[in-house]
Amino acid sequence: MDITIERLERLAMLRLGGDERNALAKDIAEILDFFRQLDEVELENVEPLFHVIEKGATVREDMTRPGISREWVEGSAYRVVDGYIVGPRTIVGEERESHQ
Amino acid sequence: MKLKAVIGLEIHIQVNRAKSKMFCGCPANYRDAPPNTNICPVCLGLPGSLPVPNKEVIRKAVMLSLALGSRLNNHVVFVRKHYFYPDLPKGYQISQHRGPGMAPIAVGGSLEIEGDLGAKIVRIRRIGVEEDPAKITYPYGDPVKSPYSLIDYNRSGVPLIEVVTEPDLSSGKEARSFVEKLLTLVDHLGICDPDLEGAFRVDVNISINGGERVEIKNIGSIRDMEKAINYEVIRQSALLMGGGVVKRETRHWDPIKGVTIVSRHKEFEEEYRYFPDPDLPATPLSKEMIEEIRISMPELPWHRAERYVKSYGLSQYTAKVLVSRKVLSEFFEETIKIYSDASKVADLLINDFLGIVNSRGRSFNIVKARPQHIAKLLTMLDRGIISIKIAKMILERVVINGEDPEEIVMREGLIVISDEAELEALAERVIRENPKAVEDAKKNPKAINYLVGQVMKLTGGKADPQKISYIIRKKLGISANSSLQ
Amino acid sequence: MRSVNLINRPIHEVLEYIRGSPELLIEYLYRLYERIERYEKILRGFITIRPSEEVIREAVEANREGKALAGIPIAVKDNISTAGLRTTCGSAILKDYIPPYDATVVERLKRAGSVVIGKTNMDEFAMGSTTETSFFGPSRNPWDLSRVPGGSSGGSAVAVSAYLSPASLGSDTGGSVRNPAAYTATFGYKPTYGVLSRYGLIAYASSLDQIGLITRDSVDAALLLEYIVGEDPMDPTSLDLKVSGFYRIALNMGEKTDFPNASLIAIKEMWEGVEEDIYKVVMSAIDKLVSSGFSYDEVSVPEIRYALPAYYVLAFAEASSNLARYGIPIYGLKEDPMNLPWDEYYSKVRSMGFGREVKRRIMLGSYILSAGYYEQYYLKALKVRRVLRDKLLPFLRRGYIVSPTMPVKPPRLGEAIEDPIKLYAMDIETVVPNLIGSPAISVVAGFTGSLPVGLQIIGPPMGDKDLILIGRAAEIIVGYYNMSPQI
Repeated sequence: MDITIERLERLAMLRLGGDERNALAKDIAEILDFFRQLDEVELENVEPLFHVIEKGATVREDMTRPGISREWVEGSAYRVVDGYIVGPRTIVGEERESHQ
Repeated sequence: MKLKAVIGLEIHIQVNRAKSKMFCGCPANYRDAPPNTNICPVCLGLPGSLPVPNKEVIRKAVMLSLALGSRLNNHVVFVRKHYFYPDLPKGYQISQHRGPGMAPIAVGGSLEIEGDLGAKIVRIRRIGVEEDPAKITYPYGDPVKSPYSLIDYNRSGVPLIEVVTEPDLSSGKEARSFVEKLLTLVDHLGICDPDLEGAFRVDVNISINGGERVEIKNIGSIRDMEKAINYEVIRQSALLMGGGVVKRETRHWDPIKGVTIVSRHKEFEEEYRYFPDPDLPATPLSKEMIEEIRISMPELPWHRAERYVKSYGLSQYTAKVLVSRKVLSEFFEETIKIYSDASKVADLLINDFLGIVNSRGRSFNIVKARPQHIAKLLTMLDRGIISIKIAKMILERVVINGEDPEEIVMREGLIVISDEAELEALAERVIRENPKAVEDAKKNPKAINYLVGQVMKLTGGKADPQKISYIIRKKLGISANSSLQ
Repeated sequence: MRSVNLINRPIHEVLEYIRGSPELLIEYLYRLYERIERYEKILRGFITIRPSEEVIREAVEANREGKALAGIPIAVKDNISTAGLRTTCGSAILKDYIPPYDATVVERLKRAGSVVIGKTNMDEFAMGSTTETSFFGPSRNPWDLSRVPGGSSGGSAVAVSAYLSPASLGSDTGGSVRNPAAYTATFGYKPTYGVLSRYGLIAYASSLDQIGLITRDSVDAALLLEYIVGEDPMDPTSLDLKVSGFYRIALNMGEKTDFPNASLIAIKEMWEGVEEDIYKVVMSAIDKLVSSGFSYDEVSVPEIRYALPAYYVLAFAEASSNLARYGIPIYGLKEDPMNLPWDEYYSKVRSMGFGREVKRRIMLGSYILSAGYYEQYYLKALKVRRVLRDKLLPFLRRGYIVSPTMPVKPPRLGEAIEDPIKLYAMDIETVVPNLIGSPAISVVAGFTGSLPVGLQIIGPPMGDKDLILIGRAAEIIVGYYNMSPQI
């Protein structure tokens, strides 16, 4: 497979343990092989079918409707300060230690 | 070494004149709401929520594309742009993109500006519709110092129209002209009130002499944009002239230090994994719909300005300032329905009136004056009922409080003092009380102004300064031919 | 007071008794809870069961108010949003998530007088075919406790087949309603894409997902459908299917009814890899139908062989996108975000909260969508989708495509889950209608030993009503519906 597990982890925002990684690497290689069967089909001049709904997305009028209360957010979020939801720092972490 | 800067802009315009957000029914105007009170399952990206596009925003995007002469796609296609960040609740932004099965709402088009070397056509690369992310603030003011971030989802999902230019601009000044003209356009099209906080953001791409491109992200005002561009041109030029090489990077503008700084936020490796949003099948954009939108388009600002020049004999400059805000031009047109001297109306509006609005945050929401008030004010001036000084004095109250100028003048006795005898008496008093100034005036005619000022003070501004000056000069025996100004 | 055991009756019969009789309703609900009490610990069909006092109170109120569904309880798959009631998607990352809103389908059922009795077990985020990837542990098949009930709507099927609830809402992306229906001898229905609103259905693959019904028989599905169809302004992909009067037709069909001379079409390639005993049972069911006047035809569509990889490419890609939202500190599994850089925070929470199958699919899905691979996999799969649709619609215009619902018997617990390709291969029959947007049902074809076997019937898009009627015909002719396992 021409892409590393590390890169896949970053794309999917996951961090796997050593065993998990090895097992997954094997599975992923197998599954990609399975996908490559699609190369056997004659698809010249075929347009991709993005949606089975041909009429397009329904749109809406520019009108307001009631939303949800902040109480729900306050009950659900980890922490709320003065109405703001507390989130992680917005700078990137240090380089991760390489896994054994 | 001749240094040529090549600049392209990505302008995100908030459709703050829409009533609701792009994909849900939460209000589009979130400014007065306490944090996290303008939310629903859709703009919070709660599991199971689905986006439903705002028809009116699509219409406005089509309208803007028509005004810029762009080529409209025959479908409206939304894509998912993936990146992980706390301000993006779904882990993707619904946006538009060019690729297999994906296209922005329009491509091409242009806007002509007054460039550094004359008229210049700035080409548009594409126009797209997307949603705004949430707003992040920091408890200690900046991301590096703060141990956590504070997220407010009120803004999440507000509609944005993105206009991307080709790198046809050459300076901060040209960029400013472009953005100003674009903002005037979206103002007139009823898309955006450019004076509201957060109404637009600009990303700038600059390279010098074909070198690497630097992106300066998220600039929130035209002034900052111009300064940032100017700084960056200097920075890159200095690097090159010192034999260095410009690195391809993302920077942001620090308005306090007045410099661009490399972003530590090199989060997303630009792997956005664009694909057409499977929740939003492509909606056809029919020729009939486009025609209908074209017919219903409001008058474009530059056509309006031309009309003012032709119909009212206004100068290009005056017309340009009048149309710079749609609401100002409408005020003008309403006023001249009642009071026919267009030049006088225009002059008052673009100078004193606009000055009052700009000194109070630039938003026309604060204007309570009505066109008939301005008409009355000008009429009183014409008839000599009030002096220019009084007019200027009460204008602010008329504009901000919506007070009727006639009532103010009546109630507060601001009618101009034209009684010669009264003026003579006041002049004599001032001459008596200011012997030193009188001496000065006899030597240097310019010093008369001080004495005139004193009389004006005594009249509470209610007299004609020219008349007073004449009376004083007569009394002091100074020739009227001496230059006074 | 007369006492009637309504436990094993389909809803259309229960309603006859309980309408206007809150006492019978209360007795019915008590019996249901009794069975839940007795069998749940073995079967594990539910993730959350609402307290009986609440459910009975609400049901009686609906009954007294004369609502159409008169307090009938319904079990809801745990990936369908229920306001104030925990909705986990079978995942650790949502194990404490309490939504602030109801899915449209749930809201419509409540408005019609139905009451949610609980949330049913499922494969994590609907990713699986056996309900074994659930964070809460697997469910067991009431017909054979050592085997899986199918998936991903396994819990929904368990509830209906073991008479813990008269009907369930499930979801179907590649067979997740039909698969467990087949494995538990219940009726499973996946609508035409767009017929049931997806608002509130927690997305796995947006262009393939639909809410589906698992019921004792097809008449119940027709009955419930009346209350839940209809365009939904909150779902941009929803369609308008008109169903008034159709339930009556289904109800009145009997042995003496003149069945429509429908054509049944078998696509050879869909039958490749079907186990011998399954094949026999399904063919004998088809034989009965043919004897009653249905015609039967075999055709070849070689492109069907690519349905499975095409389906998985699309499903993984869309899943990776739909699951990108999890980890945000507003809801679901959370940590103290203080001092953590955001990428560490997110990857930590997501890695802790997602199981292995989900991680696998998200990683592969991200890969498929990334630059350089988008055309190679995703676009290609979309092209295969068009080819399949173009090839199959002409058949669906003149008849119904039939096949076994599942190619193999329900695996024993732990058997299927180790080998991903083997697991995915179970979906070979069921992915086809999801790919092309067609409706499909699973009716009971018969049994192999004591294990249920399902017959899948696929109809044309928007042909849901006729399809359900064909299902009713099949139930009557083949003779199996409202079957009762011996637990």
